[in-house]
Amino acid sequence: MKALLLSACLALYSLSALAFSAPVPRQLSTAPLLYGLFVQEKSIQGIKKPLVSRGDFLVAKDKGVIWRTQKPFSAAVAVTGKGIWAVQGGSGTDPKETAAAPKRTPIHQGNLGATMGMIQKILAGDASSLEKAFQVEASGNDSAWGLSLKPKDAVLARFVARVSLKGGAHVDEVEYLEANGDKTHIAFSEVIESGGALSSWPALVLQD
Amino acid sequence: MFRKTLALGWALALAACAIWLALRLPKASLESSIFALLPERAGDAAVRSASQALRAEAEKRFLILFADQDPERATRAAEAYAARLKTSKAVAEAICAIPPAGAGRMLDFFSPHRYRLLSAQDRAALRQDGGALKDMIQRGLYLPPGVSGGLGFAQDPFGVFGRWLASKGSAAGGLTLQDGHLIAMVDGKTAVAVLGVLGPRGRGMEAQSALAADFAAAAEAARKAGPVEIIRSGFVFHELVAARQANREMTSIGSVSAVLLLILMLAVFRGIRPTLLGFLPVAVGCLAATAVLLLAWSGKVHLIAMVFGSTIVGVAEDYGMLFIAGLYEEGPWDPAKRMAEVGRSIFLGMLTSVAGYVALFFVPIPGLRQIGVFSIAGLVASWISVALWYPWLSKGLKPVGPASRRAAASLAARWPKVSRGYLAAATLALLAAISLWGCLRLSVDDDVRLLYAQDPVLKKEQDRASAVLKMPGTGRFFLVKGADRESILASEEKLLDTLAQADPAGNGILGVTSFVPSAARQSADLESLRKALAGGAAAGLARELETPELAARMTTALDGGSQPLALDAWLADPVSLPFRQLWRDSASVIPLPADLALSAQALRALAGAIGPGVILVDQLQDVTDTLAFLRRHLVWVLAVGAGLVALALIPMLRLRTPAAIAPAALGVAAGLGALGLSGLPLNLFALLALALILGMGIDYGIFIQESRRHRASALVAINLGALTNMIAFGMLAFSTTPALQAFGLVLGAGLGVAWLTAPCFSPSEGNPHAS
Repeated sequence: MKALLLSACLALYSLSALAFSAPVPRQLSTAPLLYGLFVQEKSIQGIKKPLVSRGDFLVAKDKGVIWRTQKPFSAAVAVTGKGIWAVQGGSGTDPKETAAAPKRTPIHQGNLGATMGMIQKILAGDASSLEKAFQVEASGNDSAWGLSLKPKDAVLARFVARVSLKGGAHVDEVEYLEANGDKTHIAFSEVIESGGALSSWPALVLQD
Repeated sequence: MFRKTLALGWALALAACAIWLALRLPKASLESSIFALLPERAGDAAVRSASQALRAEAEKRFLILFADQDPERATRAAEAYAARLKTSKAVAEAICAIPPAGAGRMLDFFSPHRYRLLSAQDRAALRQDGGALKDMIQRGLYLPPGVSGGLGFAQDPFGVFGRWLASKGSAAGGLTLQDGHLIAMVDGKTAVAVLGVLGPRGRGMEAQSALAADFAAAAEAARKAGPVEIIRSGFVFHELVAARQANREMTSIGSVSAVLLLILMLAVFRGIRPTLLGFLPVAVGCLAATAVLLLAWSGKVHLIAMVFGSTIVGVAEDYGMLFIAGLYEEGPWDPAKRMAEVGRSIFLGMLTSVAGYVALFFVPIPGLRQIGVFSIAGLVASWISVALWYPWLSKGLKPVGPASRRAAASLAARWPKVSRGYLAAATLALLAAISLWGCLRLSVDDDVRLLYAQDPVLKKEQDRASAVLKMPGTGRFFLVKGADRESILASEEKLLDTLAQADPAGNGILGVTSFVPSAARQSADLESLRKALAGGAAAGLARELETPELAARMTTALDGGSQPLALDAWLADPVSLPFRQLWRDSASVIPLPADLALSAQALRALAGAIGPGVILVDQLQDVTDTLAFLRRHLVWVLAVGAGLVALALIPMLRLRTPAAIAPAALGVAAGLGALGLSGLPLNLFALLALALILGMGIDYGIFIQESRRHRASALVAINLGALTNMIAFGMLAFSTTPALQAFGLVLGAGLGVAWLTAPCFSPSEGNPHAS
């Protein structure tokens, strides 16, 4: 179960944390808030139709990550120091609805504080923890780079075959290849860095 | 000569004792576990067995966090610590790095049963609405990889297994696996955990100090890796500290008392032989008492019983003292004559003391009973030694010089007496009034935690670790029993569901059904999945995902994970290793977390609503209640004991009985008063001190009342005995154990008053001897 959690967390931070930053050697963004849009395309073994979803995401430096799917349906997931949550209500499912307080249902409960700390470190430009878990291969230059991550850990390798990232000023694309052959491609766009405080809905969602 | 034969026989018996002890004592297991002091829960065998199992499990395990800003340094320190600790003979396991195979084990084990296991949320959703399944699957598919649990559609098309596994995340107790290490966050620092399990080990002093040395060496190794913060949590650390303290206190109290005794005796008797004769009863008493204790408890002797017991046997020095004090009498030294003079006093003193400690037999706390046995055996053996040996051993001693004799006589003559004027009486009345005033301020605290000293550093570390790790609280658990396994599991499921609803902290509570649900629940869960699939979920998904063969494939997948899961299979697999204490002798055990807000009353009501087989056990509260119960009863035991002692004295002392008892009564009042004035609470142990004062105070009263013609020597004996005893007992007031502190204070004050007031009740010289 811890392996699952681990892969979940690594997936999330490799997706979101790296999404707005340049590759390992460069000084990365330390902005308190990062916001952007995503298009995710999953091709799953045994399912013919590619599963395409769109939405937005938010990374709050000391709080956690919100991954909000808007199409084909509304669903939000939050990762905080205390677990992974499915979020219902409030702006989670409908951007126009702002008054209602979000309802969080735990998908995973447990102390993720260490993982959150790692995300912060990677955001701050320290990729050593990433290199401990993955075999990292970098290519290209600052304006067009690629990064390929292969898990070193045997348990993690049961789930994750490879994670590849491409980008320039920000991460533009992530490809996540699972051990069972499922593939996920995520493209990011319109990434904004902000120094402001969280607005009320994300603050409630990421509350620990 | 008959007496000579007896004396010789006694000497041979003691020699045999000494040889036996020399062989046996190194092998004896000196119990220092605080729990071993406490009474076993009476009656219910299942409760007892579960209590013991939980206790043994808790005592075996420990966890140490290495916290630092730099995770690398924390990891290095943890690894160094674990590596050093593994070399310890007493440590079975010290785990820092989790092997990959171990982490994947849970997945492999549960996989064949995965569709009989639903998380509480999935179960609720599916029971409510079969159509929820389609939504659930679809939403899972669109989640970013990993978040849904990461098993993938091929292995777990419904996603329910991933969610079930994830819902067991709390079983890790706030720790997260990262890079093969268990990690927690402590105040912004990364803490790497080392999990330890103690192996079978000797409880003896040597084994303990060896283990303590291993822990210290491991900590040293960790510090070499970096100046990290070390947070220890686990019973074993408290045990080691307590054992070290008890050991240190026993040594310090014992040696200080011995040295003082030596100095006093040498000063008073100016010779080695009388001094040795003063020691002898105590030495013989301790020897015999240790042997009796080891025999009676077949080697499982409690350290605290030895500490208390040997202190109490120190009283026996009075017997030798009274005899030897005859050297202060006029005329040549005649041992046979001296024995004739004081033999009765010594016997009465022993008898009344023993009568006082017999009460301990009726206290159903193993540790206290051991104290009782040790004391009585020791006192009786001391008395026998004095009675049989001293007429021979003291032959040829020289009386003290005329100057010393005159000083003693003048002290006796000048001691204030109640019969001689109002001043002494008024002083005693004032003393009694102050004591009573103090008694009115007495507070009561029976908390069992007063029984052992908590090392403040260790307690702080433990509290921090508990807050981070959400460890189950000590000693509170539910026990679920039933006619058969299935009904036990069903009751436990109901209980866990109710607890999760009733209290936010109830969510993380684990029972065996957290891993192996009842057969009924397993079938119901599988059935609800099957129904939802057949009810349109499969067809709907096949249509929406444009994969027609999906419907048939999902049914096949369901069958692939539908094997029933049996409790025995889980219990037999290593995957259950950290959780086996949850099932005990055909009953389920559910430890409750410390932060559960529900009161014992609410919990009992909740259990009662489920069935008579669900029992709440609260070990600490139960013991505290027992101590309170015993304290209330011991007051009466003491009162009755005092009454019986008085009744026994009346035929011997007649009208002088009140005067013999008065010092003890004043001493008891003073002891209680001192306790009230100091603000320390009254508890069972303070009452035991009162029992001692009663016994010794009456000794002094008897010695004085029986010493009409040799008052000076009686006073010498009492002064010497009281002084040394007060120093020995007073030392207990400096103990770190709150219960011992109260004991020491009560004894110091009470014995002091009994000693100083006993001579005030001397019968006047002119009256004829009553006996």
